[in-house]
Amino acid sequence: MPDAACDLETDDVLVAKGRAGDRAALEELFRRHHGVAHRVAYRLLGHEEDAKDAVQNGFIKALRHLGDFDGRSGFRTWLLKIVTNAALDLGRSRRRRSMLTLVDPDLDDASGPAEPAVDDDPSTSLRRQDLARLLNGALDRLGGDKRAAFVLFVEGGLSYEEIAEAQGTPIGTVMSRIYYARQKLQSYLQGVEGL
Amino acid sequence: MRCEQILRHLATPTDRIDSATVDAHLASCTACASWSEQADRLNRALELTRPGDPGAAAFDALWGRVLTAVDAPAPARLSVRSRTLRVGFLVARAAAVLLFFGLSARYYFGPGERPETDSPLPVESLALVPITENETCVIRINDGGVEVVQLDSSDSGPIMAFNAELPAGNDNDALNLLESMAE
Repeated sequence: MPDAACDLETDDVLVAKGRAGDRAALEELFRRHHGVAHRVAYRLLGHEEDAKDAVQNGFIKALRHLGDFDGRSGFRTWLLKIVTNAALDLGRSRRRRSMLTLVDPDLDDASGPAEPAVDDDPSTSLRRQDLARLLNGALDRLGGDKRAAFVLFVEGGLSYEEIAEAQGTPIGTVMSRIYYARQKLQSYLQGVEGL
Repeated sequence: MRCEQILRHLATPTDRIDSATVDAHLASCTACASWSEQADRLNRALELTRPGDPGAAAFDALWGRVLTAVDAPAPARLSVRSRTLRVGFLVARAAAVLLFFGLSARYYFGPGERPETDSPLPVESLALVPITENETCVIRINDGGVEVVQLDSSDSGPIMAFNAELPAGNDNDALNLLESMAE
């Protein structure tokens, strides 16, 4: 468990301690950010287990290369950029494998949407799964940059400036990507009842 | 206020337009009001399908794997000679697989028994062949024979695409590319 004192430290302090070999500081960074990293990866991949793999790969890379974090952006921005790249790489790799092995991703048992921890109403659960499948399919049709910008905005909670930093593009481009993604996603949801 | 400005504000809010201006526009413009309703529907869909945080057990398992990997010694950087040998070894393995499938196809059909046809096979087949526990080889089978297309690692994705063009005139770049995919 992370040191209780770590709870009060800023990310920058934890990063400095982590560089010095403080395992409790690294665990606190993981505890703080793995949830948002998981949500971002899940939206990018549409698959729970793949999202966990991407989060794992992203954290391993980030924590191994803490020395590369220059502090120009926040740690979360830097981490989410790495996790996003890990997720997009994994998505490309899995898609190619699915095509080569002629596996229909929609039929893959493990590719279902996230299950809520507790859900007493099966019809609600089914509706949520259908909705998640629809939304994941719609996100998948967006280009990687647009999908990533939108996901980093709505799930990562990053600002336009932070996304621009992560994507290496001007803020105006980021805003256009989010606008375009939202328009597309909204059009896919037209006619869906119960929303 | 133009509709496009309102829609852009709804999709990517800024403090350049105040909410009273937006509300007034939506009250008088059915197209923008409809777009705003669709935006609310998307927000609800996102909310309904948002994954929860992994439980404590999943957290511990994931953190354990991350920490193990972070604590593991970084892979030693190979010399150019070692890297050349490594790439050569991968190519040799691919060639072995190619030879195996070529011989298998020959054995299957037998000399002179290959079905005669005026046209090539109608469908070109791709197959995934395991080489080791973590590595697979993609082969393409058609009337012209068997061809190794790509080596794949489950850890790092493609190791080598045989129809891909490697950087010309810079062997080191090529080695870096192949090695990074192989690790």
